[in-house]
Amino acid sequence: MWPLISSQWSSRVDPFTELNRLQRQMNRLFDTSMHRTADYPAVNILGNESEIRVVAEVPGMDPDKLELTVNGNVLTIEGERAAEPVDEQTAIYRQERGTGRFARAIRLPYEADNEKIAARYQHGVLTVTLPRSEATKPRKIEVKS
Amino acid sequence: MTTKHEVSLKDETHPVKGEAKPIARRNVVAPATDVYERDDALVLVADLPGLTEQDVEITVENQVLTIKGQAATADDAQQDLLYQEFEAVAYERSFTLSDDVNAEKIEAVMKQGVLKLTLPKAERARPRKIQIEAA
Repeated sequence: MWPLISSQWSSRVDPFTELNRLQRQMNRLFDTSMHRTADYPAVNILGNESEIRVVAEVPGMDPDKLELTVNGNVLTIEGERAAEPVDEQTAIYRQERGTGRFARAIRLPYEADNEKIAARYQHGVLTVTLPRSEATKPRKIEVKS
Repeated sequence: MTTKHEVSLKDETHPVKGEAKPIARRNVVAPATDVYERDDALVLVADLPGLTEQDVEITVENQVLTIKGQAATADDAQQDLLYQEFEAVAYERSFTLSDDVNAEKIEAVMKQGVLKLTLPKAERARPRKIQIEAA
């Protein structure tokens, strides 16, 4: 067993190479490009200068049981996921899918135009499109000579 | 059940919208699943958000039931990804069936990203009520 380990370390290790490798590993560990949280539903936020799109994974919902509210620049997604109806004769072996009420508030980078907000629920994915309100759009100010 | 899954897999290896960069292999995730047993059948409910019935492939081979699927890519290049908690993944999960399941009669329904499989029990595995006759 020992020779195996020693052979691994006997080759000349460049301390800087090793440091760089360590740093890369640490960066990967703290990589913030994916924010995995326990919050439900999981959301992705896309956007550009004029529009924000919030995409949430909420499978198996009755669209009528999804409530969306916008207050200022905060979008709240609320709902209730019904449990599968199970009678007394039914044995439950696995219950990994969450059920019950959920609510999640998402702060948007700017206020949306309340009149133009659109939401669509398709294949268990909720997409809310929030166009930016005119008042918050950046204005170009001309400099007069 | 459907063979379209293979087509979507094939799509993955091809560049999308003329982009030269190869598409990375997606992470494979086991979908959250509920399993119930009724008198007449086993019921399996799996969360597959974003997938349609065309995206899911269900196979039974050597008593192993496998659910596979991934959503068709619909990337919007018009918008930047500002915040991300989930990514397009490939779902895959297998269950070993006992002899008591009638694999021929498995029913699958996909609704709002939730797959519901009903696996009827073989006749011999169903509970039987035995009538007692008065002598």
